[in-house]
Amino acid sequence: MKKFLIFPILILVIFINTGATSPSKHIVDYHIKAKLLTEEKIVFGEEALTWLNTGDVPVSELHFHLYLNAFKNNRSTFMRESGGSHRGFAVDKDRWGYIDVSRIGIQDGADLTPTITYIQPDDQNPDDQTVMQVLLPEPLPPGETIILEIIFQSKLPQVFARSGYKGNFFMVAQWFPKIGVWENGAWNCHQYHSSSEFYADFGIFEVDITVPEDFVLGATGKRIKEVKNSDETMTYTHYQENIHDFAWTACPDFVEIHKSFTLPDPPVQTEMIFLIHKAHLKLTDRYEESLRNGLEFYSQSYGAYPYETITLVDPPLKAMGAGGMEYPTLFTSMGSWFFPKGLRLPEMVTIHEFGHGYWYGMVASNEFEEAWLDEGINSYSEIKAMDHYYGKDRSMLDLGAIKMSDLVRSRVSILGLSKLDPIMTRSWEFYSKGSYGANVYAKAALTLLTLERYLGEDVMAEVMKTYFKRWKFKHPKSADFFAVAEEVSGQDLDWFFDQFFKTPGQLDYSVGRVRSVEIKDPQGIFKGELVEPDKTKDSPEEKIYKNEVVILRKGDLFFPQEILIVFENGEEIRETWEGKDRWKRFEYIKPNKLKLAEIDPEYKIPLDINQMNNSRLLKPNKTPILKLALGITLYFQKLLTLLPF
Amino acid sequence: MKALKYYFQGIKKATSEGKLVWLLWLVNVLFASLIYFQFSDYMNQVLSRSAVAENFLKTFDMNTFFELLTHNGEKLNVIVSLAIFLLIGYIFVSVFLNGGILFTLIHPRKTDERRRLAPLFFEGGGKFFGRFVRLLIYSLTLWLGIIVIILILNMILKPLTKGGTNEVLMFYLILIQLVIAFLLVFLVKMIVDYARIKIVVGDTRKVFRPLFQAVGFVFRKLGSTLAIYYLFLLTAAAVFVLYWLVQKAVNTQALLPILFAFLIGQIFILSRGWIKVGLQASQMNFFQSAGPPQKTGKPVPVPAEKNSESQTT
Repeated sequence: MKKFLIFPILILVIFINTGATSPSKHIVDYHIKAKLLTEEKIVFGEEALTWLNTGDVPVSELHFHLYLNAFKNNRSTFMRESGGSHRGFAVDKDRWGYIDVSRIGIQDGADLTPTITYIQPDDQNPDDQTVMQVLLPEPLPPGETIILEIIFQSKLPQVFARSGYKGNFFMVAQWFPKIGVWENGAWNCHQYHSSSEFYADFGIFEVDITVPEDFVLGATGKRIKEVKNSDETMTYTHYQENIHDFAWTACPDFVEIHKSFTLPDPPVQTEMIFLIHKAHLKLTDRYEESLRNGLEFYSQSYGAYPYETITLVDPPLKAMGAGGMEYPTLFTSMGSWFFPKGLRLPEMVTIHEFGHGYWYGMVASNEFEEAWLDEGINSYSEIKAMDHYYGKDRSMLDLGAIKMSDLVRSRVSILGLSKLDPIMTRSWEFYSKGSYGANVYAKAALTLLTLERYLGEDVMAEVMKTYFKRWKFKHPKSADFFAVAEEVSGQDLDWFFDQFFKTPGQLDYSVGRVRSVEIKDPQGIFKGELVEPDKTKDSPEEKIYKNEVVILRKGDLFFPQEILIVFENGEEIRETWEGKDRWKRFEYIKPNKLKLAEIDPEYKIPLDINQMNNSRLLKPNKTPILKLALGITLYFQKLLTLLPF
Repeated sequence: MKALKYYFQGIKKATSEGKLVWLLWLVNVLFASLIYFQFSDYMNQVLSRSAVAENFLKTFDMNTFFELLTHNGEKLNVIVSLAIFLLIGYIFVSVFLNGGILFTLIHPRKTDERRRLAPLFFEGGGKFFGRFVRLLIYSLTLWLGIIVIILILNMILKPLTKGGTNEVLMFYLILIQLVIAFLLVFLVKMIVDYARIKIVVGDTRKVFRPLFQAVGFVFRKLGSTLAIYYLFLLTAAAVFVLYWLVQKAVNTQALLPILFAFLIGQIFILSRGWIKVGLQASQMNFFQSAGPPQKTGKPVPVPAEKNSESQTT
């Protein structure tokens, strides 16, 4: 098809004009023309895909993701695993979604359509059509490219899980036939699962999108052209290199706001595009502030944000199923007019989803197989950013007396659910969605924070910078992260990674016992003679105590511990223990009694699942208990007076 | 300004019936003390030897709170169950209290031969308990009515926010529904109050008819009944604001301020009883002066204050 021949020239022109570097190998080169029919909720698409065989062996078949087929019926793998709901939003069973490939062929060559079959590499579910296979008439040798022409039609579902429409809002994601990743002589092209996100190869995307002219459009990449058509539609062309996916959104109720972001060190110059639903204009400043914070924090902590644009999409309240999701250079946040300023959900979601531009967008690990590499590392980054900008004790909630940090929010989510699976589990093989979330997000983040406190903040910062720099625009595995950490820190960390990432164990140390016993003078018969105690030694200052502290390892995992021991006279002793045995006793002969023994006194180990048992006082502290008990009593008394009967 | 007159009469009566107010407070404290002992025992077991307990002196420690729920939630469940059980029990106790209060109010002890509060109060509580329980059951139909009205209102208003684009409108519609719900709750509570008064004043064993008549009475005298009710509601709100300001100023990080804050809390609980007695006295006076002649039961002893009021006005 002629129209596709002009694209390589156009790309060359743009390349020269923008002066953009091309750090990633362009394995894919997509040129798509899409038209949205708003009434029918259908996108018609024509796709030209140039694909490069970067492997060592010839390829005789191609695998594609057809993710919208996850919403085709109630027997797809996604629907079976999710039960038809996602993050609390449920499928509308009258509004299914699907993608129909009506033709796929080699440019100026064979029609591959008759060879289309659907395969299910993960679970052999015959009803799942989220992976398409086509056979090539002859194998494609290593280093060669193939140009495919695909005509498809995407029917959007009513949105409940990332993609779809609600009213006049359209979030068009996972909407086109996307080729899998050819690696190690095989296709890595997983089905669409309930607990997983995506994995694809880097390359170039140029997409023409036609929507009604009253719709505001946002899309991955930079807008390079817009044309008004004669049929009251507009066609917008977006272009971006060094990305592995393309998403777009359209809604007449968006208010489009452009702001620029500049950072001198490292140098960053990017355009922030906000597509705020008109109901949420009140949140604009909050979104802008948090996106600026994200850009600054991630650029300074890991590396300069390299793209020319970043687009924040704010979905309407009833399309929240589309909220909180990342795509290259575009992400959806989450907010409502109701949200008070102290509820920092829009800030947290904005920083988190923007952060995925680094941990998923640029450092593109395989989210199906090792989801912690993007969700865990990104949650770790998000906690640090939230604490940095919004206060360590109140970064998530700051509503009067109720305050909560993002770190505590993460701790709360691991308390009950993280003990059933190792962090390094394939996404669809977790015990439950809850276990997936607790492990790959929170537990992984807290594990990295624990590692940071073990290595030191500076060393960990260097680990993260090096990992980002080395694996930007590539597909790292867990082993690659571990190798960078060991290389930068100069330490053998196998003991840490093997335990914390590869086993489902939990970390829990407690102060088992504190005791102070007075050492009495000898009394009784010694060597045949009666010995009486020295009565002149009765004054308290002459008493000697045997002080004993026992630390227990209650969890399966071990981690070096610091222990603070405080005596009644204020004297402090700090001990360390490698923490491998099940228990450890410390004894002190002193003229003073113990007051307190505390493990991890600086709260360096957020992964410890029970911090209440990390300390023990010799004498109970009744005052806070009294305050709590009287407080609860008073609340109950007030409740009694409010009974209307 | 009839309502104001009855309002001040109620306030005066509640102030003069100090023992009655103390009695209500005592019952409240007795119930709450069970929660105190259970909760205190629980917290002493799980937290008193931990250094993190200290955090609660400064703020509400969410981290420890969630750890408590996760690691010691079972014991906490027992306390929550006890609280629910006590709340249900208190509903029946408050039915008893209502009988006691009204019976005490209708027998001014200065003129009555029975001068001691306790026998009078418990006689009234016991005498009307069965009737008030039946009234409580019958009044459920009114509570159900509120739910039906709110549901209908919700059905009418829901299409206005279809599509969820106008969240401001949605917020205000929810707010309006809440306000209407509260107004209806107050209305039903007021009707039941007057039904109780009618039962006590008329000393009737019938319950449904007084409830029905109370509905008629409240709507016939809607301005005054509402005015009396909302004057007391306003008083309760003012007392709450005052309490809130005072307790906010107390820095509860040490033993004495903690005890002081609790003492202030008890004064607040006392004030709730005082307002309750005042409202009932006010409503009773208003009912007796404005209600129809009693046709059932024994003749009503007229309170001395009421008697003198009616002579002068």
